[in-house]
Amino acid sequence: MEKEDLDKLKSLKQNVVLATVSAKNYQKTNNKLIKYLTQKLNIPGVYVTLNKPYETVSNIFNKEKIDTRLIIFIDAITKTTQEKIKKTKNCLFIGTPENLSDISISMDQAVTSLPGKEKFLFFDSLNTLLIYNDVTTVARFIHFLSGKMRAWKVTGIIISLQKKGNEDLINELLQFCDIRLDFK
Amino acid sequence: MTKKQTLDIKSILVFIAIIVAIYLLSSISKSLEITVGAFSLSIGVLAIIWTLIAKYSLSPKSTLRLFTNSFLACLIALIALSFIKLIAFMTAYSRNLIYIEYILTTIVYLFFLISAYYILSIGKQFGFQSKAAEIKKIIEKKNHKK
Repeated sequence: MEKEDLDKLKSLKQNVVLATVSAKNYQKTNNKLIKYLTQKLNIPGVYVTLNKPYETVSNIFNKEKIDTRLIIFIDAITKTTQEKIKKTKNCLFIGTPENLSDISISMDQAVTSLPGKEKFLFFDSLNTLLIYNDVTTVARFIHFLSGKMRAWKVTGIIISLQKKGNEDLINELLQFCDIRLDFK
Repeated sequence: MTKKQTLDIKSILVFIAIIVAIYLLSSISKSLEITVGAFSLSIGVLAIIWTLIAKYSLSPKSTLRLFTNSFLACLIALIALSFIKLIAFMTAYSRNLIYIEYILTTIVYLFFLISAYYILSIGKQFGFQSKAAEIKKIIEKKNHKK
C-alpha cells in the first residue's frame, strides 16, 4: 500500500471512504489502515466485522501491535455459530449480518459514546453483507450508513473486495461516498 | 412518491379521521366521558398503527423488533382497558366488568414490566459507556506522553 494512499485518509477526516482492496492483500490492507488510524492519527474508533470473528481479528491486530484498546468491536458473525456468547468489554456480538437494525443501533451507540471530536468507523465488509442480503437492501443500508457517518462526523471507511461482479454496485454506492481508494 | 411520503400521508389522514370522529362523537353524545373514552381509543389505535409500521420496518429477530412486540402488547392491553371502561360507563357499571377491569389493569402493568425489562437488556447490550471512559483515559495518557 502506498504511503500516499494512507496520507489521503488524513485529509479525508470526517468523510466517507469506499476502499476497495484486492483479495490477496485484504487483511494486510485492513491492518495498515487500522494501524494508521489508531497509531499515526491516534483516534479511537469502531470496527464492524462481518467477516472474521472478534477473537480472530483481535489476535491479528495484537500480532501487528495495533492498539486495540482504542477500538470498540461490533461482531456480527460469531453469534451465527455460538448463540450463547455474551457481550465483552471490547466487543458487542450481534446475531447475523442480516440483522441490519441491530448493527445500526450498535454502531450509533458505539460511535456516539466515543470521546473526542475525531473518530473512525471501519465497516468490514460490503461483500459479506452481500452474501446475507440482496443488492437493493445493501445499497439502501450503505446510503443510510453514509448519511449517518456524516451526521456522526466520523472518518468512515467501507471495505469492499476488488471483484469483477462488484463494479456496478460499487459505482452506484460511490454517489453516497466522498471518495474511492483502490488498494492493490 | 416515496414509501416515506406515502406513510406520512397515511398518518396525516388517520389523524384527520380521528379529529373528525371526535367532533362527530362530541356533537352526537353530550356525555364528556364517552367523548374522552372515544378520544383515548382513537389515540391508542393510531399508536398501534405506528408501532406496527415500525415493527415491520425493523429486521426480523432484531432486539428492537422484540421490544416493539412487547410495546404492542402494552398498547393492546391498554386499549382493551379503555374499551372496557367505556362499556362499563355506557352500561352503568355491571359488577362483572369491574373484575375484568382489575384483570386488565394487572395485565397492562405486567406488559409494561416486560417492556421495561427489554429496555434494560437493550441498555446493557448496546451501552458502551465504561469502554468509552477507558478509551478517554488511554487517549489522555497518550497525549500527555507526547
